Amino acid sequence: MRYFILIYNGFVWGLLTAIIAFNNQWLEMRINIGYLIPAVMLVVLIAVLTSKKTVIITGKFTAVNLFLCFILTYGVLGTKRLTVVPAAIIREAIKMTDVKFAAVNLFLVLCLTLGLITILLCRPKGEH
Amino acid sequence: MKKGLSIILTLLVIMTFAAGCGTKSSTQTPAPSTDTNKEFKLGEISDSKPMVVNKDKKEIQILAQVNGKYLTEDTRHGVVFKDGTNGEKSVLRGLSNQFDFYNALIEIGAKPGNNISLEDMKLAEESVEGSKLNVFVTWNGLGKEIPFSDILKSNEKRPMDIRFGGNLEAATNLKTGCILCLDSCAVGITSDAAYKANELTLKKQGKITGNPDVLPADGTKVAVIFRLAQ
Repeated sequence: MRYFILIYNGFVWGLLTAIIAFNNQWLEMRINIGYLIPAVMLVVLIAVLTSKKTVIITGKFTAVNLFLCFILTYGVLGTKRLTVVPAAIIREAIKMTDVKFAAVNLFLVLCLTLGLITILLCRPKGEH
Repeated sequence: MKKGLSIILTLLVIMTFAAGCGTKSSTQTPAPSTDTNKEFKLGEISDSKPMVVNKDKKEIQILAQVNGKYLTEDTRHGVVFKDGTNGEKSVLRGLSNQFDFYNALIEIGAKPGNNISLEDMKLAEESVEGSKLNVFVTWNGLGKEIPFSDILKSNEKRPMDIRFGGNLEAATNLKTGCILCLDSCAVGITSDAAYKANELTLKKQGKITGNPDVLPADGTKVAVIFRLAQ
């Protein structure tokens, strides 16, 4: 479960990073912003696994993290763009640009929700 | 059990990303029509024939697809070939490439301007020259052609002045895929002379998005018609 929690939180931070970077038009026009998601996930994984100190990521932390990142995302994008930008970033990252935004959004919400439920139910001790 | 579930979920996430990044772009093959197993057709153009040249009418039609991202975000790219490096940065995702488009323009008698250099893109002083083109858009169910400017929404009202910029060498070297840029450009095959070179990026005054009140939904195929102005 510890690896899944790391991947989960890394994904949430990666998506937030990509969304913030997306607002830099110079950057957005030049790179596939979606690549920031796996990049941040990798950095989180490496940082935690190589840390000399014990890193504790609990289910509660994950839930609060998800909530705060959502609030930040909403603050950056607003309602209308919230239904477009994350989906656009993800489908461009996985090179499936024919998939509708609604389908990507549904998949994203399902994954985040199921992932969080799994983490909370499995009640990890959170020691890494 | 927990360890197994954790590993399975982790692998699922990694596989999702790997599947997307590892496969060829889904738009490299002709996009499927909305009717399953049927080739998409819009007038003379279709999935298998995404560009049609009519020398008598001095007209080129290309197949493109609405990129819904730019119904809320602004961009300086009007139409870009899907496999170009800027393929996902335009209001319309072109389904035929910029080189075939360039050759088609030469075929209908258009003259390239070739007057904007990459250095000019840092200055916003020059406007693109070359043969003037009247550009229209249509899609299934619309029943008419509408000016390209109608599918855009801008905070500045400047009548479009699309010119055949040329720029074949830059287009070949940089492979951006740019077919129609919304300001004068050193790389786009055609671009809008109403704005100086790279003005939208440098001056940040003009903001252009797709018009969500006019354009059809994300992913809808449209025909873009370039006619040589007489």
